[in-house]
Amino acid sequence: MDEKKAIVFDIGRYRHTDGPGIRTIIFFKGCPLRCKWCSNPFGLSPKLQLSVNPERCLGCGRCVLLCEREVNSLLEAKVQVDFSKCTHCFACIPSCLGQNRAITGKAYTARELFEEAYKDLAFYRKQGGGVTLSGGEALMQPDVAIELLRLCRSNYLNTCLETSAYTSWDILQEAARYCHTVFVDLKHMNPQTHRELTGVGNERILENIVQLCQWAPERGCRVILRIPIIPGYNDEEENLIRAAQFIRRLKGNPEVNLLPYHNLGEQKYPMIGREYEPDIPAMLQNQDSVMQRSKRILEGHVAENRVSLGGDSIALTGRGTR
Amino acid sequence: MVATELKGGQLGQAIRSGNVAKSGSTKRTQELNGMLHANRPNVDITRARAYTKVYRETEGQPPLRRRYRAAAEVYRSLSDRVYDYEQLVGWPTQRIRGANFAIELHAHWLADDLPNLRDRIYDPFEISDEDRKELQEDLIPYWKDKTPTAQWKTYVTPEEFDRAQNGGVSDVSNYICSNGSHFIPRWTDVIAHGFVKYYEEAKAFLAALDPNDPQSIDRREFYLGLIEVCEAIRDWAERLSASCARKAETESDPVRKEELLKMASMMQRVPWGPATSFYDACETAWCVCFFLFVEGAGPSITWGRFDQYMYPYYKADVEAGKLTPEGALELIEELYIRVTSNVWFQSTNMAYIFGGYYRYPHLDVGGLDENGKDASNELSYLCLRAMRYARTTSPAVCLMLHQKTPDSLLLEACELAAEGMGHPSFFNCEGLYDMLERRAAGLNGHSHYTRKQILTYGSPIGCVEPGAEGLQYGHTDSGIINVAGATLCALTNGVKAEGVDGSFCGKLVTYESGDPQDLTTFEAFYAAVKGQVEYAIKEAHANMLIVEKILAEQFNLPTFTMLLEGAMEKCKDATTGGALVNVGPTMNMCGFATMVDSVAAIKKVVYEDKEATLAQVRDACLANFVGYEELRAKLKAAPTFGNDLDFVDEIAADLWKHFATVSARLKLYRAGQYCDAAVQMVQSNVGYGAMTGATPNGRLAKMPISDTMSATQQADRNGPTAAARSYGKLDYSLYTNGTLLNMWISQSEMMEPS
Repeated sequence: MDEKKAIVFDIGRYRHTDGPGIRTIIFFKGCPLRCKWCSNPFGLSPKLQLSVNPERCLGCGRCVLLCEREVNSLLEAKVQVDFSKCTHCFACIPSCLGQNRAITGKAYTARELFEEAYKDLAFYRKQGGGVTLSGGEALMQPDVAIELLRLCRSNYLNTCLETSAYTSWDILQEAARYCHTVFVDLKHMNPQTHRELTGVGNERILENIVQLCQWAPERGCRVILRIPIIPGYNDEEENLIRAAQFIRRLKGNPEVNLLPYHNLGEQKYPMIGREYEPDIPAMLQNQDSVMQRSKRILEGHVAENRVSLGGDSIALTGRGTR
Repeated sequence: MVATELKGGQLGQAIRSGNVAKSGSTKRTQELNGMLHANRPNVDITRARAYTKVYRETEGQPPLRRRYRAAAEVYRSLSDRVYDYEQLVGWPTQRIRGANFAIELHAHWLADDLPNLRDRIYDPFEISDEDRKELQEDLIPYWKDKTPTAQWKTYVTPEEFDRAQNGGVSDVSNYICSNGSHFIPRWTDVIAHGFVKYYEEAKAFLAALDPNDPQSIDRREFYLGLIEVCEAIRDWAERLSASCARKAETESDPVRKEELLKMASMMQRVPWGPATSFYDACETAWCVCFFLFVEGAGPSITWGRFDQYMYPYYKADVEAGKLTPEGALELIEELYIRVTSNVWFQSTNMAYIFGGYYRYPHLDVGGLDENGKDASNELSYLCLRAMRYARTTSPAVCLMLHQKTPDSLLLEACELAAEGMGHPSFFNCEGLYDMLERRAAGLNGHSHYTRKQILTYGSPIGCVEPGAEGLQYGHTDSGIINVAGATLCALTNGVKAEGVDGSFCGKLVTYESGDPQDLTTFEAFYAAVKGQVEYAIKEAHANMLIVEKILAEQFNLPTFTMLLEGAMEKCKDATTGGALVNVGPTMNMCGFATMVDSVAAIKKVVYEDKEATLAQVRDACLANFVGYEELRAKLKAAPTFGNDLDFVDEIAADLWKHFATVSARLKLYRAGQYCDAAVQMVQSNVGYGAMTGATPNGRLAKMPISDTMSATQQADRNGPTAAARSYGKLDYSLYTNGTLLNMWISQSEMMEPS
């Protein structure tokens, strides 16, 4: 019998955000949301995809000759790729002299992913590092994701899941069962705005969060709510206050982690034929006034919850029942 | 500009550009640091004059007598100048940051290159017109045919002579010009007793000689010579003491006057007699270090386990209320600043490979004690902290790391590492002790060290060579084997590529290991690579044996000898086997990952995927890939070392072992011991890269080859943990002369201490 496989677009070793210690982050491909500021567009489509880095094109023109569907053309010795015609047959990849073409995504079984993650065991030990499932949305491929979490947890690795929570409660609960920490995003509190910004409403997400916070603490699973601060999209005071009011009522006083906006994913958009929409002048740093102000607002409206800035500043305690 | 505002590379640039870097924890060390960096590296000919004078006066006398007398004469000629702000006393040169260089090793190349010394690209030196004239007209003509290089030339063919210096595959030029280097003197002993102990011992041994014993003739020379050197050291200290006293007389500031009087009385005690305080001990540590840097021509006079042998003095002084931790910190900073003043004087050819003036002094903290317990103490922290203030290039501060290292000490070291200055280096004690157990012992042997000696005295010598305080001697920089070049030779049947630096371009530079058309299997090709590496190692070894003989017969080292445990009893100079463990010549591998990636690329592209023939890869390399872009892309796409991939890591582990086992089979000139392998040389990958044609891993001609044992530049794409796992697949205990790994981690990848 063939084991189930999941499409993963990156395995990042030696990461120190999204959980305690040194971590391996598994990026699952495919996401039900379409956030306008998405920092990792390779994670959007669930399928294997051609990616091309035209910046480093040597202008040899071999891909132009090779592709019968005329996806590629040369303009001033730089390749232009018409992704709308591409069937993702990947025949052009070996032809590229600059090695600028790649298949984004690769199929793995849960066991294979576990073995990748287990390689860095020696580096996890000291500060309680381990494995984080991210994406895309890991729970869009629930069988492999949950089996991977189970394997890691039963081999004493610290496990974290980063999810949009836009899934069924059953799947979320089954995954959270094996997690030390679950990160859930609060992208916007207004259902209509949420729909405009991400393509889906937030009702199911908020319901799941409430339920998760009810259920998780007793199971030794910690929940951390994340708010990406995207200037001009969700950083208005009203939204942050409403988020705080929502968080205040949650059981277990989950930590709130504010993430500064960054555009590091912007150059990935043209590589797969997408356009980057946000027109935000600069990346944010933790010390910027927008972040500091957001933190003050949150802190002003939640009493018990820890509010942290930046993905690498979450509390290390409350690691669950390791 | 205050240097502490700058970080990492910017700081390095500012200091190297000659901008004054007034960095330090106190006004005193800030001013001393400013004085150091306000001076540019300069040539001092005092030592050259002293040697020439003695050698002219002793023409025809026994070589050892002449060497020892010349060494004594050097002490008599040293400057007695005392500068403002300093607490420690004595300088190796008339001007700060000078090189009191060894003319008897350098005269042959200086004869040609003296006019360029001020303006050469790498490591220019200032020199006055008068000194230059004296060198040119008087000193160089006397010495130019007497250097080890000039003498070695008479033992080999002109072709061999050129190939070993300019061929770029099997190189011994560094080895020949660095007699007297890589040494941890018996610090514990010399600080506790002073040179008077060696003086009295030599006199006692001399008195006990039986003139009817045939051996007594040479022995008499040996002891008489040592006595003369000791006396010269005693007189030097007295001169310096008088100089401090004179300066005190004219000093108007009462605080400084007091300090100068303290310095004058200290110089009455040390280094001649026992140190009675931490301050005294620092002075002995400083002047013995520079004595050795003046007597020897090479790098890496090492302070070894400084925090161990200095701690009793520190503890006693602090308990007696005579010293504060801040006071000790200031003294350590001053040591760092002073030792940075020792610049390395090298031939133009070698400056091209080892540029940067850096002379590799080295100081270790941490480690285990003789019972296998953690040995760290307050001084361990102060030594690491002092570097964060002094911010000098020297010494290389090093943490000897083990399972019992306290987190707080590791964190202190990481704080220093995060400054981005290249300090500290981290040494794994388990690996170091394994290496020492097999030091110079051949393939299956055991070194003469006891476990207790290893635990108590074992430490790395700058850069990375395992050694032990007072128990080991040998010049451990050595034959340099460019294995990237050797790999290319396996494709070209021993011929060096055209159009690169050095000589022998387009000519046979190693041996004919087979035409690529005949290497029809991977095994055959792999055997050719191994054959080329072996050939290069053996050629370097044969050349170095000749030099070892020349050095032992004519280039003895009295101060080194005194500072070796047991050499006086044995009546043997350091160069003739006076140490308990005699090492060198050793064999250094350069370009490891370039070799590994090249072999893996050929295995994949030629023998597995059959996308090209070996002859085509050769043609592509010799054409620098012009017209072979597609083949280059395929070669570059093959698995590379440093990514935790077994396909290539297995090749790495095997070639790693091959180099070490070939080396360990070769005998040394002294004491019947064996050659040690090493991966130790920083920077040299640039110079040897320039002498190497394009390689099958897709690297273009003349570009740097891979650095130390690190993965090829930009080829380790899976992050530092995957790279660390690749490095973890190699057997380090085989490299008994040490290994060096450079890893660069960007500041954004650093984690905040939690």
